[in-house]
Amino acid sequence: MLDLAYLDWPVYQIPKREKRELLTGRLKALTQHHYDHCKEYASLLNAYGVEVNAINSLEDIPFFPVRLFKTYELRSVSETEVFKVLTSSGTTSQTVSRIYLDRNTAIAQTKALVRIMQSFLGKQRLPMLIVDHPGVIRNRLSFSARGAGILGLSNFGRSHIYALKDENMELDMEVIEAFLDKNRNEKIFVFGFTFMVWKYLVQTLEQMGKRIAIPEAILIHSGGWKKLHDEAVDNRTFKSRLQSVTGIQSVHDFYGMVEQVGSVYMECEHGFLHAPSYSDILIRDPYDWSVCGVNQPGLVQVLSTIPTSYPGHSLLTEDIGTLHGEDDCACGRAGKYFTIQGRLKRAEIRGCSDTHAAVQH
Amino acid sequence: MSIFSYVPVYDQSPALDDLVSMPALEPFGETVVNFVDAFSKSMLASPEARTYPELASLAFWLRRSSVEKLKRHSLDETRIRVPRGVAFHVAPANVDTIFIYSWFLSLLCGNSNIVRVSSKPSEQVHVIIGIIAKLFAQKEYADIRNRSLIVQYGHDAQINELFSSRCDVRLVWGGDQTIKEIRKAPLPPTSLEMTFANKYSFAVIDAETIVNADNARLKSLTDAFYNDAYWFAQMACSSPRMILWLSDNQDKTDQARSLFWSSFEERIKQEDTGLDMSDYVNKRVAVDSLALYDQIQIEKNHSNDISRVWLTIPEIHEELHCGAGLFFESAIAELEDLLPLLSRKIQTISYAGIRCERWRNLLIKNNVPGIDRVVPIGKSLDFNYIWDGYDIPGFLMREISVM
Repeated sequence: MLDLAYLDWPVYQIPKREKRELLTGRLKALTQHHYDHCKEYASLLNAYGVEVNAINSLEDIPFFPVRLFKTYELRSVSETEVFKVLTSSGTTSQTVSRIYLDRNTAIAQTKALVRIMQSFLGKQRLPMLIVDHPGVIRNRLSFSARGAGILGLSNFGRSHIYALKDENMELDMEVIEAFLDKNRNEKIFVFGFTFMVWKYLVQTLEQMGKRIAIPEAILIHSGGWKKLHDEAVDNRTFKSRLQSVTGIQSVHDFYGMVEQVGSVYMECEHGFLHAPSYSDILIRDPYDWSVCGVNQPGLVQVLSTIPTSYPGHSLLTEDIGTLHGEDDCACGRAGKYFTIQGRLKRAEIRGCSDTHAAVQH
Repeated sequence: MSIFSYVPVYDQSPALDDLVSMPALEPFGETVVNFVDAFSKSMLASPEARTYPELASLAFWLRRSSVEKLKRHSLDETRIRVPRGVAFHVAPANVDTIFIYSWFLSLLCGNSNIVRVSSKPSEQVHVIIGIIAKLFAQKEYADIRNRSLIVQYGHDAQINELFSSRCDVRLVWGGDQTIKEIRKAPLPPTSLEMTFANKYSFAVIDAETIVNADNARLKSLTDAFYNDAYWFAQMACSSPRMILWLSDNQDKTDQARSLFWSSFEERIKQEDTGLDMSDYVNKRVAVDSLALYDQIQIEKNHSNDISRVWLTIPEIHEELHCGAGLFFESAIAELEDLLPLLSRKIQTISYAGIRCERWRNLLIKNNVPGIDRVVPIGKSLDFNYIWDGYDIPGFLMREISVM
């Protein structure tokens, strides 16, 4: 399982038949690996009567809900081999996921992310403007999802500056203008969480009646659309208003999660999220878990070649998504392309014990 | 004077001070019996109410003949039973009709009532409240209107304290957490309390009975089980969460299960269970969580409307169970094997193919800490005035002895 040869696969160029074969082989081997090394995972597969040998397609790879990482410590390496524990942010729920990484998994995550990001950013590191405040990465021991995301992406830039002053999220125009002056003829890499970019860059500039002219810059953002959708802001609005205050043309969202760091799904020039070679998605019908076809929304199952230290190579997310096709996106990238419509609504609180909870709302 | 932010459901509700100073009504007197009867008739006549089976069964439960039966149970001419005075009801959010059962039982016993209704929006509650509004508008029910304060309010300890300090009996539905909260509000020394804690229920089916059943019998049983389990999305305390198959023969059990579930599947395919994506995911989380640490077998079903898990050792796993059509199954060789399961947290056993006498004998012979009801499958959700081990009318009245 230490074989990282798959990282040499071209990121967006493997045609579907070949990709299926490669991925199925790798994911089946990972299934066996976790079956052998994580007794909880083995117990789960036994409960479903899964025969690993009988797996012969991507659809056969067993999956479980990503939420289990919030409650249980699931890993396929001994405690002494754990190199880093990733946790998800606890903003929308009380509990956080805990993901156990050994060195190999951490290395593979980084390498995969490098391959994917470089195909958008180029191999040269670009001057990087981070739409956040420096405090968010100050405590490196507590890897909050936001801090970890910024640290991870920071490797793809140089001469980093933070666009916001501090926890008050005030836009630091002085620092930004100095940074732009210094890198006048360079392509700039802007990174931030979707909501931060919207609220503290776009809306702040609008309110101030100011513009920063960086038409050659590339913005990569992530973190989900929930808050923006609550304000009835869609991707199109986001892009056009961003463009009018910054001039940025090249805007790429990405879909990823702490439970599968590395194999992220980048948004292409046509607004679709793309599966790289190292990962894939299946859309599952929640009614019976059958696999949905093109244009039929369902729950997103994510498959990744990367996780070896924890059994997270095949997970059922709580995101609702739609597959739009495979290998035939107008952007020219091979692989499946899809969109995310939102997140499963929190289950209605029911039950004997709910009077108290219900009246609190 | 502080201002309390509770909202009376009806405009003409009495002020709290007025309500508590009202003399009690006569238990099962003409006024209260007529009112309950009028309510039952309006419900049965209401096209809106008829679309909800639980409202139909509420109306049926409150019809005149069943109130007469309740009266015979509650009163006894040789003894003097009088209302306690003021009852404070804290209703649950999961079973929309409970506030009426609780309130009307108390009303029939002659008490004045403060009823906290859940603020959770519910079509059923809306229908009920509308019907009562019409009755309250009639002059003949003014005595009842003046003794009824139906309120909604958020999590507010001050209001809990206010109502608790003025009541003679408190009925707390809504489970452990609510009970814990409400109990922070002290009661007057002479008052008493009934609490309805989180409880869980299961079914016991004799395998042989299923194997020998003809199609009609099987169908009526699975229909009855469907109602028990899927009304209230399997989240009422009385909803069966597990089926224990009574047999010492594995083949018989397998045969019975296969017959039962295929008949059940036919039924559920025709139903809109009302379950949604979140329910399916929650069930998957529950089942997979269990599978990580326990030796279980997850059965395949035609859809996620049913989820079934075979357990080697029968256990209710209440901390994981999320309702919504999730069934644990296991086998017992004889009824005595149930005894270790019957903790205080167990409320109802529903059964098929086992004689009533066997249950009586079992429960008389063995001193078990839990189990409140044993009923045939199909009757799990039927409310009764004896509930969770309380004779509710008995608690709602006090007795005066004259020697």
